[in-house]
Amino acid sequence: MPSDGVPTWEEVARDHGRFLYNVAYRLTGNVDDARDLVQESLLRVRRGLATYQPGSLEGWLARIVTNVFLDDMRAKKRRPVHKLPENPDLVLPPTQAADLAADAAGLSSEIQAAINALPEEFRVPLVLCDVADQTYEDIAATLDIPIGTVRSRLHRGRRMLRAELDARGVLA
Amino acid sequence: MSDDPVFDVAPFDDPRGSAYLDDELDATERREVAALIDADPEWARGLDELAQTRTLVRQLAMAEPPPGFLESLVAPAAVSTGATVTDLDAVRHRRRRRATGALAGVAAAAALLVAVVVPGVARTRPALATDVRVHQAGVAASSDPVSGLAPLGTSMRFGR
Repeated sequence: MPSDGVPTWEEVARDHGRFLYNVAYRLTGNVDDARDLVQESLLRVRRGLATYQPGSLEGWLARIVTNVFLDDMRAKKRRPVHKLPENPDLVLPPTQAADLAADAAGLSSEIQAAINALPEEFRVPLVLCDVADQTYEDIAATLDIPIGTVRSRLHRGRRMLRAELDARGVLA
Repeated sequence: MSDDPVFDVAPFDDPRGSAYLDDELDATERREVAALIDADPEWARGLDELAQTRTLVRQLAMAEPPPGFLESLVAPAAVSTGATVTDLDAVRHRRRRRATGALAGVAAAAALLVAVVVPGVARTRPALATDVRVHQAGVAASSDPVSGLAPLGTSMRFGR
């Protein structure tokens, strides 16, 4: 790392790429979207390094990957890619993503699937707190919401997650 | 809020529970929660469940990127030429282009089918006409009236 404490883009990608990917995967729940998210995030990292103030690098990265994720979610909502089926009987039943099915740890897959089932407003704070290890203050800044809202969303998100895990038999 | 009944959670709705586990309470709130845990078994049980859920997520193994993915982003050639961002941009759009390319491929295959099969059908008539002319010329050259009575398919070995 250079003497000014600001890492180069290559150092960020090399040393924190796995962290970025882990957060991206927990947010999106699938490999392809996680890869896209990491790539887009690294583009923003490259652009943002000029103005980066040395501090919690992983906090800064978590903020970037979250913002990219939320931007993508908003874009998908504006341009829905899946038409509602005219005949619901023709809809295939939900299946586990291949990457999840390939996961050797079945429990891990079930937990990830349960995280995916959470509405985005609860999933994001939960991932930022329990995966990216961000403080409530960091999460509030990233999501631009009051700390009290972070607290309530996290609490509710965890309770919803527990109910989901219970429904999947993970807690039995 | 979801309509899914699984999200109709039970009454442990005090958000201080999560904040307690995350050590995000000030001293006063922490004392209040500690008192609640001591006084109310339901509160204590709810907190235990919450702690278990929190631990499950926190103990998830780190999701590993596909082999070679991160390495491809910091490939030495790309780094040394400063072309990495351009490459990333290209990679980012590659998947979209792949979808477009697949559509283009289907369209090209359809066009090829039309170009090959449809004219092929159209060529049947001129080809037969040519064969008939060749057959008639052969018959005329041989001056053999019997051969002229043979069907065209005989000389062309159709059905043999």
